[in-house]
Amino acid sequence: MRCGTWTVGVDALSVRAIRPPRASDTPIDLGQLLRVDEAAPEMDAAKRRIVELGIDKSVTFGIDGALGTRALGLAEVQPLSRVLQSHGAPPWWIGTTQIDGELVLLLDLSVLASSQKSGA
Amino acid sequence: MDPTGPAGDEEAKSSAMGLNEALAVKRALGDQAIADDVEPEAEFLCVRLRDRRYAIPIGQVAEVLSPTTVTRVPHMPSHVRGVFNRHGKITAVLDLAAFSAIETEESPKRLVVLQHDQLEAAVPVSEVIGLVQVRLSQIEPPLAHLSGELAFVTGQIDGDDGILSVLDARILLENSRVRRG
Repeated sequence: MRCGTWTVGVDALSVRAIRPPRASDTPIDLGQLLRVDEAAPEMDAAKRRIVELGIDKSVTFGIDGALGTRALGLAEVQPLSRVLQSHGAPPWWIGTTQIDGELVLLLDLSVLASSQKSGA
Repeated sequence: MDPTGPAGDEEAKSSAMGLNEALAVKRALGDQAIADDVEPEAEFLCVRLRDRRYAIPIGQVAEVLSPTTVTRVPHMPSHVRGVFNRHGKITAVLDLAAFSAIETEESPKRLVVLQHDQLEAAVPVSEVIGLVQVRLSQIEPPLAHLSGELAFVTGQIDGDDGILSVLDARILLENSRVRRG
């Protein structure tokens, strides 16, 4: 999924639905959450989608585009290094992979939902 | 990132490779038998970051690289400058300047990859000064202000060109509380 400047991967089994936004949605904006630069990139509003989780239905996430599913071999996934963990990486950042040379952040949306609810 | 341009890049790569080869040779030699009448010595890679000079035990240096593109990552403390792809492995870049109340080096000349156990991370430096052999008796406790500020500075060497702070990569890589107190 596209989230601002980032391409993000999540466990497909944790996702219940990806759908167009509704007026009643109050999602956590993943693009904004992952922003590292001051300037917000321009995104195509028509591609905006809402991600619903399978377990925690009380939280939804706003993304800037769904890119589809992709099977990754274990060798393609790099768990988050111990150095990054010990230097304050958020618990919901579980690893990285690279697709076509681009760094892809692998996130655990359930943990992210919990941390956002608890304000961590 | 390297302001010296393509020609400078080539020179930098060549210089970095030479140093890497030297590091490999030094590691291969390991602790050779030391004659009984010779005081034990340790070997360090000396680097400069702005006006600070650090000595890194040679066994904790995996590689010296030319600068490369570092990708900033979200929700990390300021001392984590980002990550980069090192031989297919995502490697963190830690900014020593953020711990030392000195300005970040925006145009580092080298990335020194530190290693301890299975841990690795790179630190950007203004300059790699070179290898230095130091008698263990020359290593003193760190200056009071450094020992108070930085847990990973574990000693100092009073050299001809000034003070070298001895950096312990183990503490830097393992411990999130690199600032004392």
